[in-house]
Amino acid sequence: MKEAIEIKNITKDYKNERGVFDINISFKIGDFCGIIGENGAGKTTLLRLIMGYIKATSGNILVNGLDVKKEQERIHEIVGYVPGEIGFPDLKNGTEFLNLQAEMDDTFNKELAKKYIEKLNLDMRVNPRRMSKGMKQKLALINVFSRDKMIYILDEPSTGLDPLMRNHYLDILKEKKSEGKTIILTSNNFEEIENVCDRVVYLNKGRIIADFYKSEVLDSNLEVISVFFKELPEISIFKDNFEVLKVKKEKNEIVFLISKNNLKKFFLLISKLNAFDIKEHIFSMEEYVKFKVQKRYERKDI
Amino acid sequence: MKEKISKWFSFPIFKESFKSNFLSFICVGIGNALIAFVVILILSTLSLNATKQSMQNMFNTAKMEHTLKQGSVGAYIAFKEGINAYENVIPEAENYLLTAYDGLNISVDLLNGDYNLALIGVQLTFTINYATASGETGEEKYQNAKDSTLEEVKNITEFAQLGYSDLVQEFCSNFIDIYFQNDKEDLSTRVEESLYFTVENYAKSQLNLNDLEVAYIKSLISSTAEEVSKDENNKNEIIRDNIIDAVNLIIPSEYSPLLNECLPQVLDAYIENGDDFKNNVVNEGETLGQKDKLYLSLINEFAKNLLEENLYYDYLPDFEVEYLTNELGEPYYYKEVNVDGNVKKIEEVIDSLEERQYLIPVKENMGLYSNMLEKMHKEMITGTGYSEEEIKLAKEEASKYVDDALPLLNGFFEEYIANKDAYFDFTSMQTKDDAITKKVGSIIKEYSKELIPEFFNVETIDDITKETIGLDGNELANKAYDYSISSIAIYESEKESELNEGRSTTDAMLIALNRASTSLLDELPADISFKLDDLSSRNLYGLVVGVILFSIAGLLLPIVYSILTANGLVAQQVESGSLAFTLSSPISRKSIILSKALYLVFSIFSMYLLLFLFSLMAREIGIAIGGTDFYESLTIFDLFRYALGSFLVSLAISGICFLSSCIFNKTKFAIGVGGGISIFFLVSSILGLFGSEVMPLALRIDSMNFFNYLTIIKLFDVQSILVGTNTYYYLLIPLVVISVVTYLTGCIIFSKKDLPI
Repeated sequence: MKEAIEIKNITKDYKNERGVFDINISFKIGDFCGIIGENGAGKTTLLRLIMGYIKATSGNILVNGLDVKKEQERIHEIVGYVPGEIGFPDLKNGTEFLNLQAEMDDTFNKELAKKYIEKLNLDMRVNPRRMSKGMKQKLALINVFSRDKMIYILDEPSTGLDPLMRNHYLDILKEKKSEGKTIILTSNNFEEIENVCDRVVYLNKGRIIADFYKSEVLDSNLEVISVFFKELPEISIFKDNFEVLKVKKEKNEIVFLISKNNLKKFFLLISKLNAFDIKEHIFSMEEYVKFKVQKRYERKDI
Repeated sequence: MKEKISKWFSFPIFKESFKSNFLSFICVGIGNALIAFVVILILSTLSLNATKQSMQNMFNTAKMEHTLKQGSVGAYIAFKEGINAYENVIPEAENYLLTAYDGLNISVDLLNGDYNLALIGVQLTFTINYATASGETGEEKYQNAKDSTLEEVKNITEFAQLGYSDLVQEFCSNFIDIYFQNDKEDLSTRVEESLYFTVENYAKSQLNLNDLEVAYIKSLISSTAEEVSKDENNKNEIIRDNIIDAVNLIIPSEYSPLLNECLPQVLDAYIENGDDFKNNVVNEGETLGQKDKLYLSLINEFAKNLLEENLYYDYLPDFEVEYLTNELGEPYYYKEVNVDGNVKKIEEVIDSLEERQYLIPVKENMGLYSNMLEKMHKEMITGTGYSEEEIKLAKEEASKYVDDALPLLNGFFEEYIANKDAYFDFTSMQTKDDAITKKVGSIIKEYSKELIPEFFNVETIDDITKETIGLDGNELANKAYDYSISSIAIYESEKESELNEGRSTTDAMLIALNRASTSLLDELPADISFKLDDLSSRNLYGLVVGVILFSIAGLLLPIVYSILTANGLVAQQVESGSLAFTLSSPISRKSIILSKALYLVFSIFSMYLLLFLFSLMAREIGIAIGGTDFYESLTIFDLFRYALGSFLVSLAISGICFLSSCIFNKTKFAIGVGGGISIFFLVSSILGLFGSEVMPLALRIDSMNFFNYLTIIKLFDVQSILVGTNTYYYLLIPLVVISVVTYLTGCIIFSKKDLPI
């Protein structure tokens, strides 16, 4: 299958450890990928590199086989983008803005726009500059989703949306997904990503720490189990056979990550210890990522 | 084709730029156009040209006054000196000349032995007289014998034929003395000795010659005698030529340069006609006698030279006098001398260019301009004299007036000589000077009727009405008479007082002429009159519309518009992120930025088009409501050039703002740098205005001109339009270059840089 986006050895160095470093990743057509990371992790930088707004220090990016450095114009024909920080030109109202945008882009579908405006309940009579943050976000989303693109790149798209609107927004995302579009969005909210995305990429300090499909996590035979002890045992005794996610000393609680194959062995071990309660958790993506991160650093330590 | 355009230009982007800047575009465009409209309309009601014209008329009157006064004094001097030459100078010189001629004639004869017989007669007569002379002592007898001999010598035929003169008598007296006190020598030696003795006596007592000059005269006599003895037939010519050679020694110094040219004619007339000439015999069919006829032509020549030698100084270009000069226009310095033990500073005129370093500078802000006498000493004052070309031009200019004046002078002299006894009416107690003054006054009055129209640019004197300067043409002509009379009176009194101060006649005349020909404006400090003159010759409409309106007031709004719009089109959109929507469209960056640049150029162009149209409208309305000055002082072509210049300045400044906006991603830097530079240019041009040439001298502060070198706004050269040179066109080229370079550089930078969107 042809890659929608292929990123090879991309580095954008802003000095002082800011930027992205030696990123290698590709997105398949139909990928619905969330890029997550703390502020300053390099999410926006990565998206700007894909859009060609900034130039990489080294490496190259192909979008649908087109080189970002040379064929921005053609790439923009197949990519829709919502910037992280949204500002609008000084125009009379939202309608004027959309009309001008439609003139600039042949893929813009006015019927679709009408539908989304209704759906997101946006008052188009307002000067876009004077819109509230949520309204601006809606307008930006309507603007991008009204275009028939192969790839949608959304930089923190849900910022400022109230819960009801967020649902409508998610509906649209799902609609696009069902149409087989490639969607890449960023967020610093695990929950959001977890709910909508198929694939999660975790960026930290400009590097990809984790990159996995949600199915990997859901299908995995791992269980998260909290065990409450009367008296905390030595952690070292678990070390060789079981993953310890967390130790909560005040509750005498240890959180384990246990493979289903190992359950019997695990229960056997804790039964010998002073355990008085056991709780099973859903293994959230956040935990999974943290686990992966932890493992990565442990590996590094070794 | 459509593909090609879309690669460079995107209409939606242009449209977006237009829509988002529409309000400021309309406000600035109409605001600016209205300002121009109102200003031009207000100007149309002022009739500045009338004010200017009356000021100009004041200067014309003053210049006319100066010319008439100088002409009057010049004519007066020419008349008076001409009459003086006729009555005194030439006859006196003639007397010396003819005496010398006769004397040399006799001397040559004596030296060549032609009169030995006559002298033997003198000798015999004396011997007889001495024998019969009465007297107690030998000395008394000698003296009586000599007296009676000299009395009888008059009747000796040979002497009588020559015309018995004092000189001959003196010679005889000397001859008797020498002959009888010195009996050892032969006759010719005694003749020679008594001749030279007589000549020496005469030269020393009558001609005031020194020993060296006397020696020259003696050698002249002996060499002439020798020449004649070799070539008897050409005796008269030889004597004439030798007299002419020595004329400088024979005639007292004062008028010799002029007399040198006319005396040979007098001598030749005498040689040709002899006593007929001397007695001024009137030839048949003529009114003037032989002598008067010659004299008339001589004094005409004399007067012509006088005018030609002096008048042209007035037409030499003025220059700024940076050093103190004395009454005679000579630069001087103070020299310290020891007088009776006290150190005193005395005025010393410099006499070589090397001494210029000692000159005393005039105070900086006085700005004195040269008068006629200073022009005579230009080389000493400034270090460089007038070029031959300048002198030639001035002489040509002056010759026009000399040519006008000469027939008047000639007529006057002829009239005077023909009626000289009756000409001046002494019975009414008026002096000769008064009579000449009145004559000059009436001539000048007549002449002014031709001259005055030239000063006011009209055809005839009747075209001058009271509206112009409060006097009509005939009143002006009467005024010319007054100018004439008063200037001559001033000349006479100034000349006399300068003579009393001990000046030479020539110096006193020059100083008095200079003072008598001053006009109202010369009375003002030169600095002020120069500035007023400058003000009166300016195009005030050009100043207000071209400078104030189009290069300052009319630039302010477009500059502010450029700063804000250039920033709004690029830097602000980058900062706010709104450019992301445009940028994510399938339009190339190159096409985006070029469309934005094109919008900025287009909007500024439209503004100026509007401004130009409104200005034109205001001009037409202004003319319709009576501002007819606009026809000449604010032509449509002028307006077009003002608008074009102002547009190109705005374009260049918008280019700078655009470049700044393309370089910086933050509004504060884009406005700070682009706007800072633009406002700096505007402020510099306002400050520089006070030192620029367009400013009337009265308001100009020269040192402020420094600011003009700091601003590109001065590349719009209004002064060049006002004075009609081509610099305006040349200077537009750098403006176009700045615009093209800044816009292109901005576009290239924008296309290549990282955009944090």
